[in-house]
Amino acid sequence: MFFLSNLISKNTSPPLPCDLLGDPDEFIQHTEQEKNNLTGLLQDNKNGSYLLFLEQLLSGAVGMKAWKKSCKTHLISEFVEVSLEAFAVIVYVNGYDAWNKEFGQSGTTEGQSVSTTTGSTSCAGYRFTGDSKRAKKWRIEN
Amino acid sequence: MTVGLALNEGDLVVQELLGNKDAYKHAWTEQVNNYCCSVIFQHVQFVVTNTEIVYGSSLQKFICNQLKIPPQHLLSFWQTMDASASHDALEKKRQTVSNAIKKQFKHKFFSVIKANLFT
Repeated sequence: MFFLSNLISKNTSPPLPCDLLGDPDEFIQHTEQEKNNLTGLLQDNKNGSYLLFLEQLLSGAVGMKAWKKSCKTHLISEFVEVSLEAFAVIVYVNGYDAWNKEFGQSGTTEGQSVSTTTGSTSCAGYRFTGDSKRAKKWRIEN
Repeated sequence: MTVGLALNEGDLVVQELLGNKDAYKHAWTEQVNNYCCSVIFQHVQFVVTNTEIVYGSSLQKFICNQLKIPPQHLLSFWQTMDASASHDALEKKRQTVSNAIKKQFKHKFFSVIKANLFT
């Protein structure tokens, strides 16, 4: 039964960032209207992809101990800060292509590789941080 | 929450008197690291500019208040401790969370072959 449940859960494919975020224009409108939550994502996503993301991946951001303690008894909004949830979404969108490539999948299809934020296409890599360097210039001199 | 209990005002003064600056700095930096990782990161994930962590910023006040730094030692504490410790702690925590999400991603969506081997 354990393995069966594993197979069932692992047969699902990872949610696509473009499905997760929905239409970028609508997403922006939602975040302007509803600044205290991310229900815009939950409403606009396709095929329950945002719910899948929350169920499968948000535990990494929250911490497994806190997640197991609260996920079945509390609303997500009650034990996960909105900014942390948004950070998890950003990390996922940023790393989706690179992780897909690293873990052996053939990568996104042509239609899926279009950036959800800029509309540009990119090779498999970190979407936002691929070209960044660890900037230390802002360090404070004591 | 045990943060802030390891050292108190007495310890701070004693260590200053003893001139053990390294231990003093190390102990407080560790406290700030723990607090930033466990509490601050839930609300603040990025420190973008210097002004967000300089002495007098809201983040500095909050951290010092929660760690129960004596008011007369606030400035020396923040200068001695190296204010970028809070930034470094958040940066490490960001990396940890990113790795955790990546690990979850691999575990949840790319472990079918391993599961099949055991069935």
